[in-house]
Amino acid sequence: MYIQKSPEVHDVIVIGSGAAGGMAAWNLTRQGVNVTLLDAGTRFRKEDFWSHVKPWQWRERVEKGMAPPKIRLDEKEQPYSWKEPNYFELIRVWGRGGKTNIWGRVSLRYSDVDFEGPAKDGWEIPWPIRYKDIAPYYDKVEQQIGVCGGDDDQDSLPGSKFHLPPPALRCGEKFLQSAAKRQGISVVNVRRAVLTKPHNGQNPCHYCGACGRGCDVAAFFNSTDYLLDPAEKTGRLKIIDNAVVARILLGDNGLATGVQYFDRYTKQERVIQGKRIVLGASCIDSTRILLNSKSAKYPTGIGNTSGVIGNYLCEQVRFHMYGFVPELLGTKTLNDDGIGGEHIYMPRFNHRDGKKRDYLRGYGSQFWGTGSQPGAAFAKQMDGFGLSFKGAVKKRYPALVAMHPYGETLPRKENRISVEGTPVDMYGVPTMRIEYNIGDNEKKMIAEMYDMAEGVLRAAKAEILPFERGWLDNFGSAIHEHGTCRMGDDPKRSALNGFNQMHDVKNLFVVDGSAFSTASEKNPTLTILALAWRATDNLAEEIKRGNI
Amino acid sequence: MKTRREILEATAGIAVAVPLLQAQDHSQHGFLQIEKAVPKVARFFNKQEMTLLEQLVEQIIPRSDTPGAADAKVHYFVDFQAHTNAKFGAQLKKDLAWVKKQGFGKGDAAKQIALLTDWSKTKGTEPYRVFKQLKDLTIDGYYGTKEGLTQELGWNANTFLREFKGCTHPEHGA
Repeated sequence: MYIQKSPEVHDVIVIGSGAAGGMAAWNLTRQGVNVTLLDAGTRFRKEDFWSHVKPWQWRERVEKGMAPPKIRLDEKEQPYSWKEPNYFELIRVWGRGGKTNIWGRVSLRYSDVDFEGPAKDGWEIPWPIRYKDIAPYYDKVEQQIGVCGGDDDQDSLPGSKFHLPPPALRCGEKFLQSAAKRQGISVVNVRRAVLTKPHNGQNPCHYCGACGRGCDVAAFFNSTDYLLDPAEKTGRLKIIDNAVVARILLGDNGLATGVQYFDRYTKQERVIQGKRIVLGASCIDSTRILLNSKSAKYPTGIGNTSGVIGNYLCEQVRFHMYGFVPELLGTKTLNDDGIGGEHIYMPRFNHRDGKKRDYLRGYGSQFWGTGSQPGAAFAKQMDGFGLSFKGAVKKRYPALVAMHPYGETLPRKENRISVEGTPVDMYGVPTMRIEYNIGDNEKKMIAEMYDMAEGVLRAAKAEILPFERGWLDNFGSAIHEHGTCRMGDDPKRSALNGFNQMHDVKNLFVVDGSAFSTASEKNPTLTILALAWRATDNLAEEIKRGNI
Repeated sequence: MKTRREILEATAGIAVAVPLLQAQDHSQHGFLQIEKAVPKVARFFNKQEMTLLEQLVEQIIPRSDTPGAADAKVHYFVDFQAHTNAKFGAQLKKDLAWVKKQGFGKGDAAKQIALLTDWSKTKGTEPYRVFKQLKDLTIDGYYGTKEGLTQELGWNANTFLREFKGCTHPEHGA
């Protein structure tokens, strides 16, 4: 088949338009570097989001044959497999801004409790950076995108002088916060990339609570409005739509020379050439691209001399526990939407009490779903029917509280992504297979997480909805994949250096969650943005010096 | 003279067409909520089955001082779920045939409540499975309707607020 190959050699090719790729493109273009960005989809129109469609209107629209904009990638379009019986839930967004269109927006700084963890406990490789290395970049990111939060810092959750005002707490959140305090656990204001006041020309939140459907006024950070649109205004950013990247190409000089991609719809194969390549297609898809980029020099994927690429996949373990606070039973229903999601957060605390644990690392907790919701699914867990049942549901509705503990998983070689012997996709490129499981360390931590969650709800005197101790949500459901192209000081045990630059291929940078040495229990996007900013500062400097 | 509703409906299209112009104060959000409901039609079940479904959902969540599941047309919600999932629909059809066989449709309210009570107390059995399935569908259906969410539960959210006040009760969590 004829392959379209452009003769132009681009200064920098960025793959991916989400948090990682968007930050790379924005930071490079503002420093005078020309960037060509490959996006696997196109721009989502904010006008099309069903942000303000009430639940019954949603139903009526669907019955009429309408559908909300298709933001999540359909697995049928880009299949993947997993090792039975461990299903791995994979949520991807191909299109401008990637997952930042619908992300949870929780924006937590990693601390040295996280960065120093592996060096202290000896499990797998240490991070090549510490908090002091990334702190200035957290400051910059927060000023650029706008993150609301409190000044209630913890050693496990560094603060910021750049936080926007935190949202007021809901009634149920106040009860949970005080109940946790009685258990000796601090619950702080959430840090969330939602604008609680106008910021950098962007609209503030109007508290409709429908963030998961896309924000029609961009009141929370998304890569399109906050990074790519400003980057395009410099005149130095070119975006190629519907470019599904298959491979990064290697030259005889050992450097990356370009990218092979397919048009998403025409399936036309194309090649573009570049002097430097920044990969930020999200952990899983970036890993697929690296592993498929085989050559005589790198038969298991570009830059994989260490053999770590594809391995050490980390996601987080999590579960959900619900209850009803007695003081709120039968009270007037309030509009609890707020900024969408919880307004409080429980940072990791298990390193502080001096007790020796029989597991490594830690966990925190989120609390979304506390307060009145657009539905009453909890009623399915209540016995009965009829008038008394209806009354019991109504009484409990304003009193709902929720806990969602998230625990760190250790990096393990056997948790991996591979492309060997898998079926090919519609472009003839091998698809991914994901092997993932947890070990004794996580199981022991999960037991304590259950004790903690139940303890907090009992301290709140909550009526706890039935739960099965040990139950976990799907692997992958946190949508926090990390570690499959990890950074480290030792090239034999890592693929990237501390500036996200490949040890083996000096003009190739990987700036998404795959670069993380560990997963921690925290949401990673703020750290992805900070690391991508830091990496591309370094790249821009090296370009100026003529080193890359 | 035009009613307030007619004025809002007439201006809704304008508001949708120029959202960005008004984004700063979000004034379009009030208009986007105006949509005409369409009459419900059964797409999967026959008339007898729909009558039986209507009786079932109403006994599970009956009318009180607020509308019940039948008032909220939850039986049409169940019908649509069956319509969009053939396997699920076929199972529900069998379940309804079984419910009919128990004399539910011809029984008075007391008989219907007695049957549901019996089924609800036999966890792990087929009658319980049928009961739980219908109950869960009724919950999903009812608490997603305007009647169930706003009139019964008092939900009034997913709307534009200039300020989120949160909890204003100093005694909470003290």
